[in-house]
Amino acid sequence: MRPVVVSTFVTLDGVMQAPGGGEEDTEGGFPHGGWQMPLFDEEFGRLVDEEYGTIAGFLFGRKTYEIFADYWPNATEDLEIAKILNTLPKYVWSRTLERAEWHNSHLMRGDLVEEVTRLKEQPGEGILAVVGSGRFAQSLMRHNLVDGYTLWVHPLVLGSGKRLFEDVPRMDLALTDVRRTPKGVVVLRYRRPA
Amino acid sequence: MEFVTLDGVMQAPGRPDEDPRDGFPYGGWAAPYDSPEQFRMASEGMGQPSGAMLLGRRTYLDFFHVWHGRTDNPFSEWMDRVPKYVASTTLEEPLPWQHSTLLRGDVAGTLKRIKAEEPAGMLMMGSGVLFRTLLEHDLLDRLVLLTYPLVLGTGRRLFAEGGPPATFRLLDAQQTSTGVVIATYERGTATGGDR
Repeated sequence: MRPVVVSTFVTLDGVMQAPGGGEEDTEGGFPHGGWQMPLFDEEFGRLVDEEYGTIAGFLFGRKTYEIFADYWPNATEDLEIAKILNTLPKYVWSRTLERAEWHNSHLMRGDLVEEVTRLKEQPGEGILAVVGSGRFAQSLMRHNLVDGYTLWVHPLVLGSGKRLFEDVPRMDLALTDVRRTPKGVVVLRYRRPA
Repeated sequence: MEFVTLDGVMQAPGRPDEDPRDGFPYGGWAAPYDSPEQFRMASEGMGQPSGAMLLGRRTYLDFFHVWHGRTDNPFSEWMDRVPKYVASTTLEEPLPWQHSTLLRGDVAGTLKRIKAEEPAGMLMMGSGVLFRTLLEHDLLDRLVLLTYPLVLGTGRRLFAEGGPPATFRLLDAQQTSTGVVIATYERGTATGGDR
């Protein structure tokens, strides 16, 4: 079975909105976009590469899909990440998107539980990664479809913004790994207990 | 030192009856994760001859109720002995616990003065309202965050919506055998610059 892993950059107060740039997602008047960038260092990049090396496919909500589809096909940096994102299958759940034209994208219209379960049961190694896609990740949590988490905890508090764990049920997890980067990001890995 | 879940909940880690406000159903969520390592860390912190505590009213009264006068643990003797500063707008003196001082009115201003008088530092636990006051007035120097491996989905959070932004520098990150992550931060930026 291919596990679904939610891999998210978060702050100490659990905010996951717009880590990459000021214009990425300003919903709610969020003024702190781009908070990840000052905390990027070589080790962080290495850990991201390592994580991306385990990915077999991506599950997206509409918003993050559109941001990524706009950026990654023409990216001029982080070429390893770009290659993985541009090549691997991408499954996007949306009721409003009419087409998903980024290479190897699949627009999903069916029942979430059935579709995700079917993807998990496909043969092969690797994880099905959920990056960004906060609301979509919460839907997966509510349907008990998430098998693991990689939380990239950044050493700052923002005080506002969308949080990763919002409107979700109680979930008891098991810690499997702790890493840290020179700039103080703590990378926590959890899995759902058997 | 704060105990939080992965979704940042800090309400009632210790016991079901600790803080049932808003019908919180999960009181005592931290207890199953007790470990010898965490006990040793707490014992070392409270084994120091000096020190002081800084508490909000609710946590102060709860700690008094739970820890005062006991001899069956390494914490009570320390807590009974050290100065305890209590922020409250409703408590009246005399306070029930020996060596307690009530902070009223301008807590932030008073704390600035007291910090200078307590060179060994003041240990704060729980005290969610006071925690936010400290953050707002930039009075928090060090944060030990114990993150438990669960999401609750409800309960009072340590970092409330609308609080002030703050940056920290990571000093240390450890894990216990039960999956609690103990991360120590100090105020500042990761690159060593100003706050």
